[in-house]
Amino acid sequence: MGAMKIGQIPSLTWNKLDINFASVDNPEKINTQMETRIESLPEGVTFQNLSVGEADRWIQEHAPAQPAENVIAGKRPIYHPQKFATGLGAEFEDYLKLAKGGTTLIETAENVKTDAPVTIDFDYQSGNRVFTRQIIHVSRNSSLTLILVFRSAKDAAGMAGIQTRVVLDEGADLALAGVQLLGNGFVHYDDLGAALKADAGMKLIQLELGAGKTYTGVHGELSGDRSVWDSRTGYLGQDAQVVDLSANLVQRGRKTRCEMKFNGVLDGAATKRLSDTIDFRRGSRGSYGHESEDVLLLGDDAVNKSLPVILCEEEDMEGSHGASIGRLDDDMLFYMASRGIDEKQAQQIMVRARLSAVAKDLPDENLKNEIHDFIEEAFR
Amino acid sequence: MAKQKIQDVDRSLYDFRDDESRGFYRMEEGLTEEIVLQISREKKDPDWMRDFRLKCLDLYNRMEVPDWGPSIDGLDMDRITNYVRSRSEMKGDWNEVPDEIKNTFEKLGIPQAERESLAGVGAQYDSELVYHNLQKEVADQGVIYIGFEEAVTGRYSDMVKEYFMKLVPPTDHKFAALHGAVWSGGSFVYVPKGVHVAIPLQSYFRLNARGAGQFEHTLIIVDEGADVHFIEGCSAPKYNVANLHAGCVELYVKRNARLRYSTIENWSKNMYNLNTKRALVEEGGTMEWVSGSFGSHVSYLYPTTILKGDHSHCEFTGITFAGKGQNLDTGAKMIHIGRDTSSYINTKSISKDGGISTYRSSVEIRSTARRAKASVDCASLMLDDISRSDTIPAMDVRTPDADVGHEAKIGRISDEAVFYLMSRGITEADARAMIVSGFADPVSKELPLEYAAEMNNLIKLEMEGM
Repeated sequence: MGAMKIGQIPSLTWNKLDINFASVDNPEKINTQMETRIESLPEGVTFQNLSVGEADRWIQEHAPAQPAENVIAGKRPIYHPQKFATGLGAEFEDYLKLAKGGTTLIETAENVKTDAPVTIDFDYQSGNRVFTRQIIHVSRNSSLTLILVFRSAKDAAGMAGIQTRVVLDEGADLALAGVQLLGNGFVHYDDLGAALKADAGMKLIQLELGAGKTYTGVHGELSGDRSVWDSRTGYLGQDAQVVDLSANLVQRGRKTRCEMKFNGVLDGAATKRLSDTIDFRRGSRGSYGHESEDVLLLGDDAVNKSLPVILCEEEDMEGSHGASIGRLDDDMLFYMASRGIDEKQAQQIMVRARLSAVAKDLPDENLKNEIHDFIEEAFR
Repeated sequence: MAKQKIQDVDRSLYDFRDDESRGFYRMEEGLTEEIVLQISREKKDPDWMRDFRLKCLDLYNRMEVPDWGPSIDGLDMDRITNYVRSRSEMKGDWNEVPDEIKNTFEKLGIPQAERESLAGVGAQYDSELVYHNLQKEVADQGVIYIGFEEAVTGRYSDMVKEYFMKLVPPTDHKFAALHGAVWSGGSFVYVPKGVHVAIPLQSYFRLNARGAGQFEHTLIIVDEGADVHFIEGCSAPKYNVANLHAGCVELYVKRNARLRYSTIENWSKNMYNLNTKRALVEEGGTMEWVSGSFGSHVSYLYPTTILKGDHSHCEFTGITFAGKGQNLDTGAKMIHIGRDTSSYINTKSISKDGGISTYRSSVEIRSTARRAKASVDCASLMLDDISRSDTIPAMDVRTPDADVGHEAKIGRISDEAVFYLMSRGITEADARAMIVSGFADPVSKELPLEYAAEMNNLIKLEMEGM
């Protein structure tokens, strides 16, 4: 396999900027199969393994129909028709065909409100090149909190990939968190696709703190009226790390709401690309979409690329974007210096504050402490 | 909910045509080496320019059309005439310009504007300049404002050779290569060190011929400490076949100099406007762009500023109005190289009647641009639910002490605002008109309306309730 294009934006811009997609040269062969084991599940939540074929059939039967679109009005072909789009795109889907193993289906019954979060720990060994697939289905008027934690030894190397397809029925709520604490020798792929029916809500927390190369792709379809998307992503790039984030939220239903926040820190010669798109489709009357980004630049050789896109073919909507990219504010540094805090310490405080703001809603104190320690260690 | 109706820009003023059968010379359609050589002979090009054209043609044939942006499938280069001129030579006295051409510019208000408020005027009709004049007192300051052919072949040829298509090399993109092969007409301006030109210079481009291309080249050099305002206006009558505009503007703003470049583009709605504009700003220099895009069927227009010198600064103010049958892809590019450079982009776009408006920009802060500051503010207004408005702003930041801010907003006329104004005794139609005017105001007040009578007709948004 040659170069693989992933995380392509839905509307291309100048190729010279090298920002339209991420390119992965000769992606590594997948060599390990990892089975997801969950020790205990709350009442009303079930777990089963499906073959790849069974999983695709399940999606066809349960997901809201997505029109296969080739063209946005007046634009060149941009969408790859897929039955159920995920964020990393069609070429990544082809790559996944090389992975063995099935798909884990986690689903709730109807009218099930779970209080305790379900946590799935993915512990990778050096040399693992693993891909895991899962489907999360929250049925009508149910709620579920799911935390995925990706860990390895600090000096371990390998590939850790996951694809998550989410279907939220009418009135369903899902809080999904992904916390990535992998060693620097790892490549991490996180490919997410979600479809929300009427009155469904998805809260997504993503923390990408380790791994030499991180590629995350999110595709969300707000198909149902009044469906709500709220995502917060925090990342930390150091040394020569590559952080590549893409998110594409399509608002189709009436009175849908979308809020995406990205908070990151780039140190050393880290490189980051973020393409985040809000796409108001005709008929999404009364909808609202907002994306915001805050990047703290610390490293002299860090590279930050941002492409916040708003596509709109609906009149009755409100879309906005705001970005702030730069160093620590001089006034704040001065204030801290007047309190006896030097620049290095001030930086650490601000890095912790930014990433903690993303982690604060995690319903797991031990995990929050682990995240805190990981950041402390990274800046030691 | 009440719907507003906002009229298109009134184009009747521009839609008159002159009879092409009388007194015009028109080359064959299409683009071949023979046609390029024929243009070169017509222009009496020096050898270097002829060779340059051929090199550009070769590049053009080898380059691909962009894979992003609006479709240009409706543009068939085999049906475009790349060179059309009147049989009249360029005149320095308005009374000597042939009547039918004179009438065109009289209708557009250019001579009146020249008399009232311009320091110099160039008028291009199809492929060639037909009139050029510079006020004596400005000429006495040492300002040079001449037709581009005259600059290529005359006493400034060395200067032209040094700067021509160095800022926009023909390798930049396919239509820059096309421009290099078939350019014709345009202006050369040189403002000497320390000279402040108090009133603006203007070029007006009129493309009358059916199925033709216009490829004028504008080269402006504002020397150290000098200051000038240059205005560019464009229009054409509407035909049922595609016309093409692939001009090129190269601007050099030297140390501590200032250049304001204003454009009111109102090409007809069969025009493919694939224009390239670029400025290079040296230490302490200031570049100001004011850009109004109202016409064209398809537009790709992103004036680029390279802030090379330390403490150089650029402001871009733009408005785009996309109506029925229009796909206008406009914006700006800023490239910060020098230290303490700063840039500000402020744009507004309006979409109605199925029009597509795309704001596209890039802000690049290179690693050398320490303490650079960049700010982007773009707002879009959707006036109905059959139109489209996209915002595609890219940022590439490579220095840690940069300060980059970006804000984008898209929305419609708020019912609450209309209600509030109506509660103060204003009719609904007037309330909506006020809101749209208010939306466009930060940009329209920058437009040099007072300088050219033609521009008064451009932002004529007549509103009425429905």
